[in-house]
Amino acid sequence: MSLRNNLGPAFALVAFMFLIAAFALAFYWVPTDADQGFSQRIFYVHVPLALTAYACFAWGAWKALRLLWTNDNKYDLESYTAVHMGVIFGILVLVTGAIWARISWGVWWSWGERQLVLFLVLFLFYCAYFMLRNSVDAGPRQARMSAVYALFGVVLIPISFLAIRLSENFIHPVVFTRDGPQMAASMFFVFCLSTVGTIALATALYHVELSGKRLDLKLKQRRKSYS
Amino acid sequence: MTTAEVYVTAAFLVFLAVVLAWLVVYAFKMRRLEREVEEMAAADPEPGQNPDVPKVVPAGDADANAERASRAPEPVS
Amino acid sequence: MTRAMAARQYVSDVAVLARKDARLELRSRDTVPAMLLFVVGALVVFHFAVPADLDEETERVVSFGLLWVALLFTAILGLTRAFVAEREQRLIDALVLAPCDRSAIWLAKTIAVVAFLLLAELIALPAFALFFVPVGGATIAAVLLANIGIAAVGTVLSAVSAASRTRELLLPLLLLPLAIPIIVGGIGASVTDEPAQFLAFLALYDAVFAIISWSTFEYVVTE
Repeated sequence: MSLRNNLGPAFALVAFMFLIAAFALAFYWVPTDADQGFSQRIFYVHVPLALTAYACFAWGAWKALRLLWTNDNKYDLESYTAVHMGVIFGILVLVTGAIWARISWGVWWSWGERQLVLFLVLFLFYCAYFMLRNSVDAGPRQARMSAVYALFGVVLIPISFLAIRLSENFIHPVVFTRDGPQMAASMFFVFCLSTVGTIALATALYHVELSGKRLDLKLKQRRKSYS
Repeated sequence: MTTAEVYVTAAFLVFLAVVLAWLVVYAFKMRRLEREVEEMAAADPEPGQNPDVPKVVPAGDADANAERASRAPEPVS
Repeated sequence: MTRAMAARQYVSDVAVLARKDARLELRSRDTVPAMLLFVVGALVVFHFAVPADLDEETERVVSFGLLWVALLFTAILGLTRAFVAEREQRLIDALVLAPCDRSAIWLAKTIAVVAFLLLAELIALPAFALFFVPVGGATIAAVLLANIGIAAVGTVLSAVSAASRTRELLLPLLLLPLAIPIIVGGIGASVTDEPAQFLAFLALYDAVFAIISWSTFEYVVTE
């Protein structure tokens, strides 16, 4: 039994342990933030989700690069699954961010919240990624075009962030700001637990989904070879 | 429960909800895949006979499957 | 083939391909007139979209916003046509089989798109100055830089969408998220008191995306 087969379950176990611990501590143990009060605790789920989404997009771009480099189609499903995970976690970032904005400032959306705006742009971009995959027939061509677009995406992340920061000079005055939490060591510890757990969860889901996609592909190929 | 507690709990629950939704979608997909595998096995009970068809390997060995998938020649349609 | 010879060959390939695009456009006169008419029409439509009783500063800011949106959509219009001729006459296969570096195709097409955009802007900017507010040097510089960025990214995405099932429908979807930084840079340069940082940002965008477009184009056109 190779190590590869066990990755999904292994990461799922790690995710389970770390997330249970992190969420329990986030609710019951961690000190309440002086400025923001209880609502600051959303930070323990929102920011790890954002970091995980970035990691997924980066992983997808890495696999895309490998595909273009080696011309080995196996990377296509890996890149696709990673981007899919990134979008799922990205949606979570937007929703938890909206909830946090609502409780902090009474509005469901704030253009002043850079992270949120960035994820909105990325969400648009990666939705277009899926439209692209849907409008090209399966095969090496679809794989290559998706890979190129995934690379554009990962380059877009820092450029967009810079653009959003620059745009605050003239678009919306940053009415609502949130000071970076002056984190006590305990807060940082729970944050790290949550981040590791969330990344482990994404990895576990990634491996399960990847196996499913690979199986699907093999079945399609078998079916084609019969007809 | 104070308003803040409601919203914080909502945020964590949304996380759980999305993961569970993923699980539901995947459970259905797995059921469909299993059905297709059974159909395929019924149609061709002895995979050894057809030399063009790659040997059936237990689905769990995803890595070997992927290797084989990428190296197998594209079926001529 | 020595480095110098290869480089010269590359430049001449690009020149040949770019000249082909220019000649095709001169003969058919499809794209540029359409872009011109579109951009002027869009500006007129925008006049009706801007409320009348705004103070001068707000009107100026809003007008420039509309200018950049108009330029973006005009560029998209031009880009959807970028590979249509090649696709319809199967020229793209011939081009790809030709013994030139695939990225030369990208560079030639990008140069052609920039040329078309410049022609459209030659009319659009004076029209904007006439209808709305005068256009300053920073805006012109920003437009020039933005042309390069949009053309660079748009050429790759145009090739991608030309090969897809949904064709022209796909291009705006793929391009718009990537165009957001260009809009930010453009408006910042047009409207604020410190255009330099926005122009620098546009230059950065151009450099980064030109490099990545140049290196990935060949993967998009090969079968």
